Amino acid sequence: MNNKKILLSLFVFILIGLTTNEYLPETNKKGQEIFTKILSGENGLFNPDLSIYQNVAKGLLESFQIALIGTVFAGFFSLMLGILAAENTSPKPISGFIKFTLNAIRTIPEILLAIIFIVGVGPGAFAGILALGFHSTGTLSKLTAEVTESINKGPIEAVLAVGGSQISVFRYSALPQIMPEFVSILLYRLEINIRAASVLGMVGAGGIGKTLFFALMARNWSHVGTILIGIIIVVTLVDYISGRIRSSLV
Amino acid sequence: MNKKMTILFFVVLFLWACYETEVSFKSLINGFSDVNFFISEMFPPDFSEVSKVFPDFITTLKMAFVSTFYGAFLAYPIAIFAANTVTKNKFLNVFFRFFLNLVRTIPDLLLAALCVALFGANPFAGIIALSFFSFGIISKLLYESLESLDENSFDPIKAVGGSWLSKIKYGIAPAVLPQFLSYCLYVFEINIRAAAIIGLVGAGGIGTWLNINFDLGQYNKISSLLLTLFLIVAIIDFISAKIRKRLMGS
Repeated sequence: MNNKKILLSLFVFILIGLTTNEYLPETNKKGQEIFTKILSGENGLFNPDLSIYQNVAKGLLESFQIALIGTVFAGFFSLMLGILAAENTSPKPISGFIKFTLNAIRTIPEILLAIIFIVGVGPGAFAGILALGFHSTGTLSKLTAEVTESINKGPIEAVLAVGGSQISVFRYSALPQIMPEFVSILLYRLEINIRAASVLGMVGAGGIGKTLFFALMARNWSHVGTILIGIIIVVTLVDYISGRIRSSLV
Repeated sequence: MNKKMTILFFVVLFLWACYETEVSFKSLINGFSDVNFFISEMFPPDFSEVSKVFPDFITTLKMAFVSTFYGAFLAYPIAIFAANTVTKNKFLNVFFRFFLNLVRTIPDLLLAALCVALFGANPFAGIIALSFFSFGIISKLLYESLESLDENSFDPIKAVGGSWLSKIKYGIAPAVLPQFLSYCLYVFEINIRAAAIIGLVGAGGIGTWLNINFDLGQYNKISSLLLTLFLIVAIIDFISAKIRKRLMGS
């Protein structure tokens, strides 16, 4: 790519950018005053009200539980589906069909799933768990299938050579190869799910999102600030711990 | 022994979480007919209004496009400061990396809800939220590829007395340009999905119509909107994947 092309594409980018000018809100002095008040005023975002820590901790704990259970459910199903979807462990039509279904599941966003499950089981943490579990099954099974497809054939042949059955092939050669990678992607999914669980509450699926939603609705910025700090701490903590475990696994 | 203890710990953690969040498969089975009703209401999709709301699909695409551009624009300099191969300053590296980690802990939907509360329910709020979100991803990916650059390749520039800026201009910018563009496209793909979803919390675009139709209970219109969205996303993913392959290949 030469400089001319880069300049030209930059120009096109800026041109399209200018067409979004219509979305700019009107600003005036009063608006700016309100904006600074929201951010740094006495009751502002950067003046978090730490006295509600108990409520926030409860919400965060629930979000963590939602993420944990959702990931475990998804892990349970995706270990089976992943192996069924792998081309080297299952017949072609079954593998193709499951892969197609998994692709379809992955296109539905978690937040929509949460809304659908709320219709079924009512608002609360369980709807969030089901939404996360369902969506994560789609992504985890795909990754598990990829891991299964990349396993080494040597150990399988070794078990077969000493007269092992299909079950012992699975137990003693396939599973030990899949397991470390599987746990690693499971933990990675937990990191993603903890973020998702913190927003699912906004549609009524429990957790810290619910607390945040009420604080936003009430325009209670100092509470919003505290909740944001809480989410950042929990996400960072889970990322850190899970990262440590993952690096010791692989 | 250690391994058994870890597994036991997770099992107890899981059971406790299940108890606390009131996981009940009875309610899932009872609610099955409601979910079934909800989904059967979605079919057949009613495409009569898709052409009417088509401008909002364009708004969603524009939101995704512009925020990718803003995000990338901000990400480039920050990634340069965060990469230890380019900026030889431990303090700056650590500071910017910590900042980037902080940015990435906040989920996109949460940012959107916050921006809607700050800037009002319009696409502008969505653009700000997504720009921030894209900035986090692009700068992380970019500084990682900056760090994987071979430092010896800068020696000729140093040898002829090139400054820090000419090192970036002649040594780094051409080397990471394909990756950088590829990351931008990748984030654009993510942003289209995100831009549609954040409309649910009021950030403009097609999500607004999803929200309205949810409230009105017109589920067959929702399914038509979702199917159209999937089609658009699939087309853009396909084109973008093609371009990315060529970029990484050259």
